[in-house]
This record gives sequence, C-alpha cells and structure tokens, in this order.
Amino acid sequence: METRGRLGRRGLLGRTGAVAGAVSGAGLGFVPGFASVAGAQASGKTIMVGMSQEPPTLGYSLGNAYVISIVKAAIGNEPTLTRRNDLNDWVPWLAETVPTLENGGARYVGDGADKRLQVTFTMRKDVKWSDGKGVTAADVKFAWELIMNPDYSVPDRSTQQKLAAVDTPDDYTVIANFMSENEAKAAAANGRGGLPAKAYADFASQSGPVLDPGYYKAYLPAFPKHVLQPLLEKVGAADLPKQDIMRKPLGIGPYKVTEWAEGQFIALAAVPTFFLGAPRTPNLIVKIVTDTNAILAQLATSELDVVTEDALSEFSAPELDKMANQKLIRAYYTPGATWEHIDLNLDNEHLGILNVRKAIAHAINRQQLVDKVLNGKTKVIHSWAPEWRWDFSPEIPKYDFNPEKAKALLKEAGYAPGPDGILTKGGKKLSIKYGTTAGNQARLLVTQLVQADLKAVGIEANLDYVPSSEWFAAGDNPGPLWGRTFEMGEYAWVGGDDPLGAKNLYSTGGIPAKENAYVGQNFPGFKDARNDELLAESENTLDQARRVEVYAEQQKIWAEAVPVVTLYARANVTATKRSLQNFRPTPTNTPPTWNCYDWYLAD
Amino acid sequence: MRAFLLRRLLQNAILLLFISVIVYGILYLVPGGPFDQLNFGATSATAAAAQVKRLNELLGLDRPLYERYWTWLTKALVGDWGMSWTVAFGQPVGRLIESRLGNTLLLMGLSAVFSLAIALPIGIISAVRPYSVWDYLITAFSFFGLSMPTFWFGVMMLIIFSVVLGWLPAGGAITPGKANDIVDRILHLIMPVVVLSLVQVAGQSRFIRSSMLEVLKQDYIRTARAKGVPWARVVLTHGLRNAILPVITLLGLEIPQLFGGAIITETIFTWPGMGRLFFEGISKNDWPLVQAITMLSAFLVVGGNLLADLAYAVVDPRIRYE
Amino acid sequence: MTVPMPPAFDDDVLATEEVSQARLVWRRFRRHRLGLLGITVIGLIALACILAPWIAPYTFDKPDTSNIMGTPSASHWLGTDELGRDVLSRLLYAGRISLLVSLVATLLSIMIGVLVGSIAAYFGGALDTVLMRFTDIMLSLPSLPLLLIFSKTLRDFGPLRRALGDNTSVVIIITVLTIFGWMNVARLVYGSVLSLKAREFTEASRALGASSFRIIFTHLVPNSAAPIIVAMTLGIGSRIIAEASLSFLGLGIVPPNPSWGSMLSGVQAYMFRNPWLAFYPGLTILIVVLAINFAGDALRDALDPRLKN
Repeated sequence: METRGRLGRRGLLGRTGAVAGAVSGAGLGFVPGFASVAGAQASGKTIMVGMSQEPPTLGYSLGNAYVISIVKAAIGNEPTLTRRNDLNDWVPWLAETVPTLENGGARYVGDGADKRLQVTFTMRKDVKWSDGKGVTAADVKFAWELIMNPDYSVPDRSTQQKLAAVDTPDDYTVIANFMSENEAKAAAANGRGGLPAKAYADFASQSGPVLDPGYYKAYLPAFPKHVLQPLLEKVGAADLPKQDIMRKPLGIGPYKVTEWAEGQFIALAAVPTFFLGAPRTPNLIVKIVTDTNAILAQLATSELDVVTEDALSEFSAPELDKMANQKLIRAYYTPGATWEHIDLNLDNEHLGILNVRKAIAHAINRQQLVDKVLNGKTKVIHSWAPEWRWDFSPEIPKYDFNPEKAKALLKEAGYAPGPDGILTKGGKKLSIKYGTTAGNQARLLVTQLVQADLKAVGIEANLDYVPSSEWFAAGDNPGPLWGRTFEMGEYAWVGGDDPLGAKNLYSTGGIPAKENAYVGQNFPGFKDARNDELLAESENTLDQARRVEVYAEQQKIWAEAVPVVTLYARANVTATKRSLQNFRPTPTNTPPTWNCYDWYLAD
Repeated sequence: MRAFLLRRLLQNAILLLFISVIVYGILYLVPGGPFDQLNFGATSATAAAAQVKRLNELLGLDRPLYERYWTWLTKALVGDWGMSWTVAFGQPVGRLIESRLGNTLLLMGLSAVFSLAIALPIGIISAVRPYSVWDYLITAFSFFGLSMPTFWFGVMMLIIFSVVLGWLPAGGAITPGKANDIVDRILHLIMPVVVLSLVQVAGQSRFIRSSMLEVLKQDYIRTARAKGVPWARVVLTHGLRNAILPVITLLGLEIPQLFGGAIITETIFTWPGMGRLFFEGISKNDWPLVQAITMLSAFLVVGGNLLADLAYAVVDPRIRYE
Repeated sequence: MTVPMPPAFDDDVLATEEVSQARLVWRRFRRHRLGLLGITVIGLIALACILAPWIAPYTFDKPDTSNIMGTPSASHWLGTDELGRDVLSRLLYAGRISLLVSLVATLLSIMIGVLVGSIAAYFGGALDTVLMRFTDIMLSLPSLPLLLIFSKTLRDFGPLRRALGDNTSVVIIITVLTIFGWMNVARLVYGSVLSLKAREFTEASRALGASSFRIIFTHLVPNSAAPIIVAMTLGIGSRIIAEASLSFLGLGIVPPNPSWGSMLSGVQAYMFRNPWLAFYPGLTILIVVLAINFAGDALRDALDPRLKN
C-alpha cells in the first residue's frame, strides 16, 4: 500500500536535482539581468503552476495531450487501480495491492481455447469522490464500459478491448477477464460489443489466451458513475464530451476545479477529504502562458512557482541556469521519454545499402547536436529503448562520430567523388531528401548541422520542411511518412513505460502500405525474419525475464541494420521557485503533479 | 434611407455568404482531421484506425464537401458553430468565442480611443501650423510608426519593460486571484494597447492633418475669422466639425486592420482574446473555431462599414442615401 | 483617398516636353531632402543585397559551432547567430528574398489592379458593377485572418509543395500578398480612367479607329502613372512588413531561404540571451521601410503636388 511516508523516504537516485552551471554564449556581453521579485505572491496559500498550453479538455479518458494529464493528476478524475511513481515502479492506487501472477492476484482459468487470464483487484474502501461519495467497483466497471463504447472518443482502447468482461462480485472487488482464444477469434471475425471486426484484426490468428504484459497496470480507471450515468442516458456517448462535467470533472484527487478562466488560468482548491490526507497548500492555480519568453520572465519575477515540462526545453537552459545561479529558482533536467531520430527509407536506392546507412550514422556528430543545440542537457542515444527502462540493452552496437570511417564505408560500397565533391555510384549522385516537420526550432538547427556533417563525407542532403499535419498525415491520403515517400525523415517518438507496441514500429507486418490500409508505423520498411519472431514473442508472453532477453536480441539486430539513426533523448525540463518543497519530476510520462498534495512553499 | 439600408443589408448578407464559402472550401484542402494523432498514440494500430474512422463518421467528416458545408451553414445561421476540435475539445465554439470576445473588444476599443486621443490633437497641431518644427516632428513620428514592424516593437517592449526593468507584467490580462484589482488590470493593458495603437496613431494623425488642412482652406473658415471669431474656436468648432467626417469613415475602415493587429498583439502578450484564439485555432487545425472567428470578424468589418456610412449621414445632413 | 485624380501628364505632349517634365519631377524630388536620403539608402541596401554572393563575407548557411552567438569582431561585424553563421551575411542574403517577395508581389498587385480598374472604368455597365463590387468585397474582407488561412492552407497542400520544392514558401507569400493587395490600385486606376475617358483625346483615338485595348493601355493607363507609381513605392514597404509579420507568426518564408522576417522569428528562443539577434533584422526592416516611405512621399510631391493628401 502506498503511503506518503513511504514515497517520501525514496531517494532520487541522482537523476534529478538543481543544476547550476556557468552561463555560456553571452552574446554581445549584454545579457539582461533578471528583474528581481516585483510583486511576490502571498506565500504559503497558493502555488502558481505555469503551463504553455491550455488543456483542450479535462474529460474522462478524453484527449492524449500531455498538458491534460498534468491537471488531471491533481484532480484525480480518472484514478486507476494501480499507478506509476516517480521511479517508474507500479504501486497500488485505488487497489490495495498490485496483482501479479507471482502473488496470485492474477491467474489462468479455464482450459484449451477457453483458457483466459483473470486479474483480481481488491480496492481500498477509504477513497471518496470530492462530493463525498465513496469509490466502488461499480465505478470501475462503468468506466470500462464507457471506454469501450464505440461512440465515445477515447484516444486509445487497445488494452481495454482485450478484456472480455469486468466482473464486480462485491463493492470492492474488480475482476478483469482477458479474452480467451475463442473469444478473440470470434471478435476478429464478427466484432464485439459494437466495435467492428476491423478493430480486432490483431487477434485473427490468436493462439492461446489473449495476454498483455501490462495486465496489472493502469488500464482500468474509475469514473464517478453516479454523475456520468444519468448524463450518458440523457445525451448519449457521442455528445458526452460536450458536457460541462468534462471541464470541471469530479475526481478523487487532492484538488478540484473551482474556476476555469478560459485562455488564462484554471483555479484549483484543496479537497480536505483526500484519502492520503489534506493537501499541504490550499490553492493551486494553473496559469496558461503560451510564450516561452513570458514563462521565463514570470519565473524570474516569482509570478510562477512551478513551470511544467511542456513549457520549457533544453533551449532555455542558459536562462534557467542563470536564474538558478542567482538563487531565484531550481531547474530540473530529467531524462525524458521522447527520443529524436532519423528514419532511413530502406527502399531508397542509396539507403537500401547497409554501408551507406552505417556511413550516415558515423558521419553525424551527435554529441555536437546535444552540446550546441540542446545546451548539453541531454544524451546521445543508441537504441529505441530509453536507458532508464528495463528493456534497454547496453550490448547493442554503437556508431561513434568518425567521418573517416564513413568515407571508407562509402568507398567500399563503390562510391567515388564526383566533380562537385558529392559521391556518385553508377552515375547516380548520393543526394538524399532530408525531411522533417516545419516550425520546430530544434529540428531547424539539427537538420542544418546534420546537413553540414553529411556534406563533409560527400553526401548531399536536401532539406525539406513539411508542415506537421502533412508530415504525419495518415489514412487514405497519407503524408511522406505513412505513404513512405520520404528518404531521410527526422521526428520523435514518445516512449511508454513498457516497450509494448514496438511490433507496430519495427516488424515487417507494421510496414504501412496501400494493401494494409496504411496500418503500422514501420516507416523505414525494416524487414528481418528473426526480428519479427522476437517482436511477436515479446507481445505474447508475461515472462519478464524472457522479455528482457527477447528485447536485447531484437535491439542488437535492429541496431546492426541501422534502419533508424538514433539521435538523442529529450530531457524533461522543469523549474520551481527555490522555496517549493517536495517537487519530484519523473523520467516517465507521469506528470510532475503526481504528488502535488505534498507541495508547499517554505518561508 | 430605408431602401438604402435594405439594399446594403442584402449586399452584406451576400458578401458574408461568399466569405463563408471561400473559407470553408479552402480549409477543406488542408489535410488531416481532429483525430489524426490517435493513429500514433495507440498500441494497436488496427484498433486505432477503426476508432478514427468511427469518430470521423460521428462528426460527419466522411460526408462530401457540399453536404458538410450545408450542415455547417444551416447550423451556424441559428448560432450553433459546432464543437471545437483541438483547442477545447468538445466545447461549443460559440461559448469559446464568448469567453474571449470581451477581452478583445476591450483591447480594440481602448486602442481606438487611445490612438484617437493622441492622433486628434497632434493632427490638428500639424494642420494649424504646417511646416513648423512641430509639424516636422509629428510627421517624422508618424513615418516611424508606419514603418515599424509591430511585432518587433512589441517584443522589444516586452524585453525592456518586463524582463530588464520588471515594471510591467509579461503577459496575460490579469493576475489570477486579483480579478477586481483595477491597478493590476491597467498594468496588464499598457503594453498591448500601446503596441496596437502605434500604427493607428501614425495613420490617423496623417489623415487628420490633411483633412484639417483641406477644411481650413475653405471660405467659411475665412469668413469666420473675418467676423472676429477667435482662431482657437474657429479651428475647434468649424474646422474640426468638418474635418471629423472623413475620420469617421476611416475608423470604420480600420476595424479589419485593428483586428489583424489584435492577432499579433495578443499573441505576443498572451492576451486571452479572440486574436490569440484564432491563431491557436490556425496552428492546431481547429477548423470549426477558425471558421467561426473569421465569420465573426467579417461580420464586424461589414457592420463597421455600414455604421460608418450611417454615422456619416447623421453628422453631415447634406448626405442623403438613396 | 480615392477621388478621381486629374492626370499628371497629357498624352499629346511632344517628346521634348516629356523630357522637361521628367526633369521637373526630378527637380521637385531633389528638393525633398528626406526623400533623397530615402532613395539613397534603399539603393545602397538593395545593391548590397543583390551583390550578396560576391560581397557577403560568408555564405548564409554554413554553420560554425565553434563560434555560436559570437560577439561582433573584425571577422564578423555583427557577430554570429545561434548556429555560428555570420549575421551580416545572412542579412544581405535575406534581403534578396524580402525585397524580391515584396517587389514581385507589388508588381503583380499593380498589374491586376490596373487591369481590373481600367477595364471596369472604360467599359462601364455590368462589367463595371461586377468588377468594382468584387473589388469592394475584397477590400472589406478581414485580410490578416484570411491571409493566415490562405498561407496555412497553401503550405499544407501537399501537391503544391511537392511541385515547388525549396521555393514553396516564397511563391506562397507572393501569392497571398498579391491576392489581398491589388484592390487599392484598382480603385485608383478606376477613378483616374473614368475621368480621362471623357476627355477629347480618347474620343479622338476612338474616332481614328483605335481598339479599346489600345486606348486603354497606350492612352489611359500611362496617363494614370503618377498615382500608380506612388502606390507601388509605398506598397513595397508595406509588403516587407507583411512578409515579416507572416514569418513571425510561423507562416512565412522557411529555410533554406532566409528572409528578414524569418530571421526575426527564428531568434525568439534567444531573446534573453542575445536580444541583438532580433534587433538587427528588425532594425533593418525599420530602416528600409522608413526609407521607402520617405522616398514614396517625396515622389508623390514631385509627380504631382496636388496628390498630397
């Protein structure tokens, strides 16, 4: 059982902490000093949280924007049975324990094709919605049913749809029944619960019970049935997102919304009946400040006490470090889940050659990108698995910055310099289109540096900045990525806490094409039989030790083939006033407000 | 007069319809819909594709263009602008605009008053003493104003007054929790109003100067002077009264410019108004929102022109509309 | 103001008189000291920009990560930017794009405006009503919102981008600035041609059997040259600002082409560290537009003193 005391004892493993470094790049010597505290807030009563975007909604399982989760974590309007803490461990939340196969909370029932995985959660009895009503198993069952409603616009129900049923034998017991082989095949053939057969296409050749490595995780939230059920009956699932409750949701969290001044701020007030005890600060105000310069200015003048990672980036490191040196703030640089990379289209006549791909990896000075563009606040990466996650394999091949080796590899592949210094082979110039999304400052700088690096080894890269709506366009009229018309393409993935879903990205079946209606995100078109086997196995086993082995081998195969040039991980950059206590940002996607009930401003 | 009014109203209605077709049609060309990002968030790609298809159907996005336009138009005519896609998912666009409209009108109104309050006296001084030192100074100032990239001016002001000096708040309309603090409100208004007024002052003072110069040459002015009416009174009553006519027209015609300026100013100073909302809508592909604000601003412009015409008739009895 | 303008030149003047007319204009222009200064400044800046590939000390796109945001020095007069590129060289290259965009957009606007205005005025009737009502409609549109919508749509429209490659953003900016920039010229020319149409020389040409087309473009339009030239000069200035505003909002020129506006928008992230990066392109725009406005004002006085509003 999670308690505040237990969390409080945990160390930070040195991952985070205020960073104070000398400011570099002082420009013309005219660096404006930050104006000192102008109109300091009355301390202790209110914490001002600065965010760069207004959450489009706070609705129950609506929207997947990160800023939504920051506010939702404070309100707790979709509390899950278990949750992650800042150390990426799964801890109980509404449940009393985390059910696993080892502790008997999860087990297999039935035989043959009717065998299924069954997970039993026992819920705490002391959790209440902020209107005083207790949270029960019925709220969990209701939430699952709403998420599964085809007309309700949840962003993702991939895990929830693996369940055949949610049972509630009593008010505080939830049993999640995963589908059996028979049920899965039937769903893939005929659809299930109003969802079309297409939604279950993954299970068409299911063998054995449907499994999910995240069976003990956050796929089952609770929604306040006593409020939502009458609304649902009145307006229907399609119109439910339009209701006011989605802007001022009822939750179990330490705070509740009292006022939402649109375009300006969301005011939150403490809920004294919060089950871990009354929050330490009476008011939390989430202020929307869309401009980075304004964020920095307001941080400097103490108009903001906390700035979340959506509003800051490694770009602002020099300003943040300067303020930290002036003892105005603390700045935190936490390794993030977002990683930048360049996909290489293996169908391209040049990029299809292994030596060319390896040469590109050797030619790019990735450390320079980190140092010069991201102010040295993050790290070069070599795998798609983040270093802090269990599946990361340190054994994978790494490509160091080595232009000479790149040239040698290209020469070996039969390329020779043409009259303009660009390599050619068989009369074909080694000239590649290098596309990325427009309007992103980091990418703007990175692409220009990479272009110069490639030119130094004789590769011509032609920059192509594509509006992101086109770059990422899916569906019948796909953009360069889904349509696989790109040659080199730079963008980022945001990793989860589990590699689940890697199959979409790296296996042969995930190559989007007209034939499969552009499903899957293996944009480079990487094909490898052993790789496919490993990825299939990884998603259908619950044996953690085996999963570690499988992913290690897969990463090695993948890195040797270089379908993707990994660049760097983005850091989560957050900052607080020096007096703010108990601020603990996480390396995962868990928002920094996860423990906001513990925040307070020391005098 | 009534016939004129009716004809103008009809013309304006057709104009607004024309704008709606253009805007609807052109936004249709932009690829992508409100649920595209779901294709990336899901662990099951096939499930996500099915989900996106279903949600698009629910919003009617799978229908042909003319059908979508017709549905949109008939709903818009009764005040239902649809729901926001990305800026405030699921929220009625009308309510979203309502929450920002007051702030924008406050900003635009104050700027109009402020700029006129400056442009009027300096325009008159220039006209009364043409080719004097004052006239040259004012002319030089207005040229600077006309040549200044507003956004750059705004950003420079932000750096100087908020960052370096720390005198003014760096953005927003109020400090949360100080809703009734009038000083706080004024401090937040200073920079946006000054930036939005700058170009207006420059143009208006030039305009008032020339309009006044023209009037002061007229016979009745000379007559008034000959009768011994003091010069100040001649300028302020006879002169100004007649010179103000074209200024009224100008104000009506300047509404689009003012709204355009509001987009930039509100974006720089994170002012919670329609301009910023519009820009947010554009950058996040929130088409229902963009369509509604465009129509609203077109409505403001068209209405402003009509009001200017009517005001003209009221101020100048010589004008009759047929 | 859009009242009908009296013509600046008479059509049936002799060649020698034309020379003296030009001389007269020049003499009047010369008296306008700020105008003279303006034209000199524009001339020098434009020349420097045109000659950028030969006179710029560096290329505009070569990064030098060992000298990021360097201070001004003998080798980099205005310092270096966020990728260590020479700011002065970038300003020169960016000027090529900014000036090209505004010049082309202005010329196209003038062409459309002259065509619409003269045809409407000359033929009158239903054509007049349709064309001038359309002009009024375009004039009363909320231009910046529509400008933004158009730029966004054209940028996001894949086929166009694929066809135009690197220069897509340049072409798009020129297009949208033209679409929303021709109406004032149309009204000017309309008024001017309307008053000229009734004059004897038009009647005479028609009696001599000249075609309508010939009359419009050899007699009527050249006689409306004065206001057109003034509108064109001032139009270049306002289009430089418009391009910069669009770039600032992220809907303008994109790399690899630099423009003054895109140089400004790219350095938003470094406002605190190095405000000079934003200061230089902003100041350049201010100086150039100011010079253009001074020159335009002087030109208006010189071409026809009565045109002064």
